[in-house]
Amino acid sequence: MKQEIFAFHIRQALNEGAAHIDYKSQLRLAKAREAALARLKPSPRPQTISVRVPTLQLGTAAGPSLGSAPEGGLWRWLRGAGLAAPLIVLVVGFIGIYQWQQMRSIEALANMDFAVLMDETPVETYADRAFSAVLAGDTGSN
Amino acid sequence: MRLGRLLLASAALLLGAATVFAQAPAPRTAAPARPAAATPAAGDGPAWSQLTPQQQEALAPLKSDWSNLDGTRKRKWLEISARYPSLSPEGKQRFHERMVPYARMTPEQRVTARENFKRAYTLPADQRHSAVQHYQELPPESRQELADKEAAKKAEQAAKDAPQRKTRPAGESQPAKK
Repeated sequence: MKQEIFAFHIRQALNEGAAHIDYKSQLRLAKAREAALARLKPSPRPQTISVRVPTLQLGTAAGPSLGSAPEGGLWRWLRGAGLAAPLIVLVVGFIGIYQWQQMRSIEALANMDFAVLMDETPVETYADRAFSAVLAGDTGSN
Repeated sequence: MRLGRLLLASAALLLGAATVFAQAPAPRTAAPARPAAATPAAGDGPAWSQLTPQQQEALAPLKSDWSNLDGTRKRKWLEISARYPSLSPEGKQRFHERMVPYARMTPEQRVTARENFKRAYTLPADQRHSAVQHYQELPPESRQELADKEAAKKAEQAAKDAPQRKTRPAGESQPAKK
């Protein structure tokens, strides 16, 4: 209790003393205080924070709209992007399969034609339907 | 998660398509009964000047006809030409001699040639030789008669099969019935 009374007296004495300080000293003290405060904490830049907040709010605002407004541009874009990858895979895959199938059929055809070309029987014989009949057992004799 | 499922579905679809493609008959180089010179894509594929000297040597008899071939036929001939260097001198000569008449056949004739070749090689060698010999001994009129009969049979069979296979072109893949 005594300590509190003592502290009160000291504060009173300081306040009374401060009232008697001359103008120049007051100004110097005020400047020193400002300089000390400026060194103590960096400038808070409240403007920068206020700029960032709307950006974050925009991002957050898109969230709830996913459920509530499916027609939203962002949602549509996301949906489109989600489907684009499988679609691209599908198209590229189909093109690949088609090319591979084409290559295979050309190879098979080339193998067959090469065999026909290298055979001893004339190609005209093979190309004649009459030879088909002969191969089928039709001798053509009346 | 959803993307993963979609990718999985796409992969399954592609696998299905690949299976269907693999089981499907090889695409025809041209429709039957269409003259070789009238192929719509004639001029496609590499020009004669773009071929390597080795390819030009192998396909020399086709030089004058090369620009009239469509892309698929060019690719087929290029594929065939890759086998040329491994042939003996006699083989190379035979290859060149038979190449021109074969290339100048109608697509239908080539289809028949492939079919007959396949059928001939299902027979034992002696039967095959005697069939060739029998054919060569036939007078032209008998050959014509047999060819007409075979064509009629083929047309009949094609008409019978048509409703069952609307998507497959008639002719090439269907072997002639006995």
